[in-house]
Amino acid sequence: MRFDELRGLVLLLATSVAALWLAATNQLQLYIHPRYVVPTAIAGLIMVPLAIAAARYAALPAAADAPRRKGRWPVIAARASFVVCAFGVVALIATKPAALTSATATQRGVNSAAVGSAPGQTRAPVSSPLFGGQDYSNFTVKDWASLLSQTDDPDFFAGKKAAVSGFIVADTQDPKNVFYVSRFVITCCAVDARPLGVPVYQPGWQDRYNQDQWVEVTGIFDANPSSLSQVTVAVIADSIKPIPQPERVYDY
Amino acid sequence: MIKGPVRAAGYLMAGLAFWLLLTRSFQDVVQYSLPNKLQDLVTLMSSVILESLPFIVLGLVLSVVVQIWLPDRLITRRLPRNPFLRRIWISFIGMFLPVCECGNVPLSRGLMVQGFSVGESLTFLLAAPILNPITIITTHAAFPNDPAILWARLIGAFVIANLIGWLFSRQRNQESMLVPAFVAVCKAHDHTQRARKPARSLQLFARESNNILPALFVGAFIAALIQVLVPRSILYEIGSNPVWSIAIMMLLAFVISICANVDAFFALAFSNSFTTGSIVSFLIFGPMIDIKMLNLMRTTYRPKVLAQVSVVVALASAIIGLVVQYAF
Repeated sequence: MRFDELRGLVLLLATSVAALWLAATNQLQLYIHPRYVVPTAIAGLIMVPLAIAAARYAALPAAADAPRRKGRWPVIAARASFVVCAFGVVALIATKPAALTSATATQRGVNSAAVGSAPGQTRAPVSSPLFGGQDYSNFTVKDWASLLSQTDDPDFFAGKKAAVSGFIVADTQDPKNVFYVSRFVITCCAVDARPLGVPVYQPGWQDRYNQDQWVEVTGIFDANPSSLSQVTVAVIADSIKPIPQPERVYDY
Repeated sequence: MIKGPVRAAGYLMAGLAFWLLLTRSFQDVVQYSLPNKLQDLVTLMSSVILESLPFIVLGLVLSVVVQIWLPDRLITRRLPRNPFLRRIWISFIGMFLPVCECGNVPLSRGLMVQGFSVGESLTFLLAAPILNPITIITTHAAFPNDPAILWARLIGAFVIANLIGWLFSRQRNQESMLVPAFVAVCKAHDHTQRARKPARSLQLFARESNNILPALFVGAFIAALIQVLVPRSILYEIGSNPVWSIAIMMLLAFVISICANVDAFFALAFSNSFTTGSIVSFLIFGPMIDIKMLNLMRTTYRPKVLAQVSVVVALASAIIGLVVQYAF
């Protein structure tokens, strides 16, 4: 039996075994929305015995086999496909499960896809009922990011206390003095993750903390003292405490 | 006694499990970390594959059921004979078989073996991801105050799917639009060997896996690579322009390769940054044509057909987006 005849089943087995292991160790949520965890695990459970059973018949003589394509490009394409599939199997089976990093957050732009974040977009005035009578004490990164995208009036935010947790992403304009406490929000799986964050003004933060490190920040909002950063308001931190990466790394 | 292939599969399974235990056990002892971009490439590619697994499984199983267990041409016999009415009926098959678009590819292969023409299979492939109850519910839930978005999506999908079906039904040589491997599959299909259905089911399952899974892996890799390499800020800066926003949202849909069942919630995040027309174009174009889908469809249709379909779908989606933008 040639390997080509089994490659689909090998990929299916690798995916199913990885899905089952990740589901059993509660790490499938690093890749997909929790609503898909059970269906994915069930699919894995069904596929493992089915793929093994199907292997017996994978090499049966086929009236359905088409003549192989000849030429250099089909060979190159086949080899490239093999390399990519092998990479995928290694990614699923051998690499340590991990959430998306600050590289993706920076590449996608923290808060760039938040509601109301488009350049030149008219934001709601502070007098709007949108901003009245809310309890901010339990606001998360997602809540603050949404509010920040609606208004960046320092007077509105002045004095408001923030207590948020997330991973550190350096501000692109003033990385030495400003960082974001960030979380990814996903809809379906990691591929659609949007980074949201709360800006924190903390000069020299890189001496004590690393990018991608999970922290809990408490502080008070005020006008951003940084002259380089484009963010107009930021949390002036009175406490930055490193924390372990939580089990639920994404927001939904 | 276990035969050779089953033994080989068993060893393979044991090997995978052992390797998994080995690498996972050592991960706590041997601390290592990949560079961030490489790590994210791994995470993104894995997320697409894992998220697609249940839908691929469903599509493969349904394809086997349709090809092996249903009486020959059962579905095609119940459809109207008039080609125009047939395509209209086919557009709504997704209402009864709500499989994600990646699962629809193996199912459409099964339907073609059952007698669907190339045009009819394309109508099914393009309509089913959108004209199904789950997508309708989630689109309404994401845009409850914008019924125009939901209706534009549904009507647009119906029109485009039937337009494509009509265009490709005019091609006389249907086989010339299919890859040789699939033409051979269709010709070899034989419903007379009823006594060996379980064996034939497993054989077909193995063959379909061989076609679909490598395509899924390659599509996932390309989608992940583009996301890691191309800054998204470039896209966001022109979101407010009525014409460019449509092009950018369609490009985003092509790259993101997100399932139609939930793409409305993803699009919702852009609803204040991008025009309504561009949101509609995203919601129509994405489920029909994206990196993952094109790679899966490559297992069945020739590249020229895929290019033609992509161009027509893109143009039609853009036009519908512009109409919505200026009419509502």
